[in-house]
Amino acid sequence: MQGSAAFEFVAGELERSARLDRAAARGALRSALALALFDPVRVTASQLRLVIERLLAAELERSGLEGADRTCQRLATRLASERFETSGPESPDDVFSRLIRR
Amino acid sequence: MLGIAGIAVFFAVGLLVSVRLLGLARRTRRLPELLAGLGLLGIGPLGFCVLMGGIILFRGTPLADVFRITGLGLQALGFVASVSFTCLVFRPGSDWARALATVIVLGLLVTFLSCALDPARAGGLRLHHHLDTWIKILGLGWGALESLRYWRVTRQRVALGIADPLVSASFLLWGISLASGALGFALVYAALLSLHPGEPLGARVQLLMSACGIVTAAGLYLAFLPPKAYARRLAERSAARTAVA
Repeated sequence: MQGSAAFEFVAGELERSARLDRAAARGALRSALALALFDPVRVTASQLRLVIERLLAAELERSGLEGADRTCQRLATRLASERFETSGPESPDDVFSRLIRR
Repeated sequence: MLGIAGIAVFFAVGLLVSVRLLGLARRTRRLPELLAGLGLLGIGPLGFCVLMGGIILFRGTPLADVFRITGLGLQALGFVASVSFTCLVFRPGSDWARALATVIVLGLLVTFLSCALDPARAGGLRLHHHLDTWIKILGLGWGALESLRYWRVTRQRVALGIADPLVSASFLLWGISLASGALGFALVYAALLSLHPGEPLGARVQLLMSACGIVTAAGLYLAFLPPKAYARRLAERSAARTAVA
């Protein structure tokens, strides 16, 4: 199943930079997203960045990849430099974050 | 007196929060804050105040009916805004949610017109009065369930260190506030079923309503106007848990 634009970008980058096959790259990314209850179809770039920074390295190490931390740092940097269409609806977090007086 | 106290606290906090949300909507021009503000204002301070004002100040005069119909209308509009907020924020793009919201809005329109044209003067509650209450409980209950369901999702993300604990807590508090509102409506409904037409609500029911008002008010206040100490405590607790994990 096709993921969001950000998901497809990161999966492609992961495949290239970690020299993983398509299934392994997408599988590791999906596992990290599932851990945080994110849907690959709706996940946004900012949500993906958090998952890459906090969860993906452990998933990659579990699948035997060396230098997972460095790979994730590179991925996060690449993701931050990309711009994605934000045509989808706002997440409930974005809405409530705005509604709270800080 | 105790019965009025909780409702008064709910009115005051509801007014404060809804005015802030409407002010935010004026600045951001975003729909969610407008719907949340209108929903809260219509269901709580405005709708109830006009309804109660008519009952207390103009009982037995022709003005009582004007206040009753206006209050019911404002409350129905509040419910329309509240249900639209639930659909837009928690279930965007969902066909079943849009269908449910449409059914609730149409139900509110029909029961409002029926209640406005046919008040329960001497004959007790009629079918549309029952429907009106159930639709309102459904609207609030749906919002509560969606918010609590999403709170469970964000709670897991907070534990992983990838979600804001204050935002996560606001889903829990919003859910509790809506559930407490639904419970308040259900309590009054259950009490009315056991009363003769025109008989006032008992002290125990008033006390329970008051408790619902206080719970709703506390939830709204902490969710949307969180004191700095409370926000700081949540952040510290979450940081400690993430570090342990």
